[in-house]
Amino acid sequence: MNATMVRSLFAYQMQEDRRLWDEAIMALPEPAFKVDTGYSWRTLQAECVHVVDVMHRSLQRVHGIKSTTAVVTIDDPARAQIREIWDAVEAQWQAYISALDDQTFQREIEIIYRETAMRTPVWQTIFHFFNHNTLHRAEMRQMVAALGGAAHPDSPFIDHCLESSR
Amino acid sequence: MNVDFARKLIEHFCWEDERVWTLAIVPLSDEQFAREVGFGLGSIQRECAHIVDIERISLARLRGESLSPARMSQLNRGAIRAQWPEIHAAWSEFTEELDADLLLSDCQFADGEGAVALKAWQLIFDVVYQGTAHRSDIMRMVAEVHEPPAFDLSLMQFLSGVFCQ
Repeated sequence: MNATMVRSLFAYQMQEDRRLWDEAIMALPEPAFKVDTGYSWRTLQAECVHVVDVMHRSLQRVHGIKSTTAVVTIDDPARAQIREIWDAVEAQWQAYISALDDQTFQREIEIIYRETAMRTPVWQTIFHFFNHNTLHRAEMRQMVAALGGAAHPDSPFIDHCLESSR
Repeated sequence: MNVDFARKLIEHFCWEDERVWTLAIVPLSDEQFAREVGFGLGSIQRECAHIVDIERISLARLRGESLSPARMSQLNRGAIRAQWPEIHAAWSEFTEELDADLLLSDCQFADGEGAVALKAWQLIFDVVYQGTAHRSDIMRMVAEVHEPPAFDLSLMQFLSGVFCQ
């Protein structure tokens, strides 16, 4: 793996995250954001908080911070507040990915995952973040559909690659 | 270049397919497996057949094999169960061949707009992400037609060996 590949994968993740926010989540009426859909994190609000929290904790881990902290500290955050936090975390990831080199990608870091301390290469945390967002975008689309909104699936990664190469 | 990450990601999607099948789908009746649920691809059957298609077609492209583009979205439960282990075994063989040169090699194939070329690593990540999204849909569908599966999907669980029910 080289850093160029990671930058391409990151660009794809951010493209799909933004599509979901702009086309699906923000298009819903504000009250729908807090409606219990009965599955997973139950509300879009809780699901978005969870996803941005994992993005933030993953970023802390790749920077060598073992005892990670929550990024959303507001009680009952509004949709716009979570989006603002999300965009800030995304920008911090963008800066990290832009500066990433091949050696850092393979470097080992100490993390605590589900209360278990371990040493893992940086790439595992980066790909966990990518995979976790992919998994939860699907869940959030299911919620948006259940709430009566438009929920288009992720564009396949190969379509993103072909578009980027044209 | 160290290509362990690519091997691990391939092992992960094969493992996760099997786990979803064994723990979430096996308990379902045939009617539940085929029931229309109104989101995603519409049914667990179509989601599974679609993942099988993606894995089969992408592997053929990676190997430069000519393959009938015919999709198998109508595969029934027995056919999916029969084919999936074979496809996973073929991916496992592929991981043994995988090295840096192969990962960066060009794969040429035809899509709807004619001949295109992508790098092998791009095809692998397409399988990784599409599988993740569709397994997420399957988990929700199983909750709709039966009950929520008693496990969650996570790459880090697989990589770390730390599970949390």
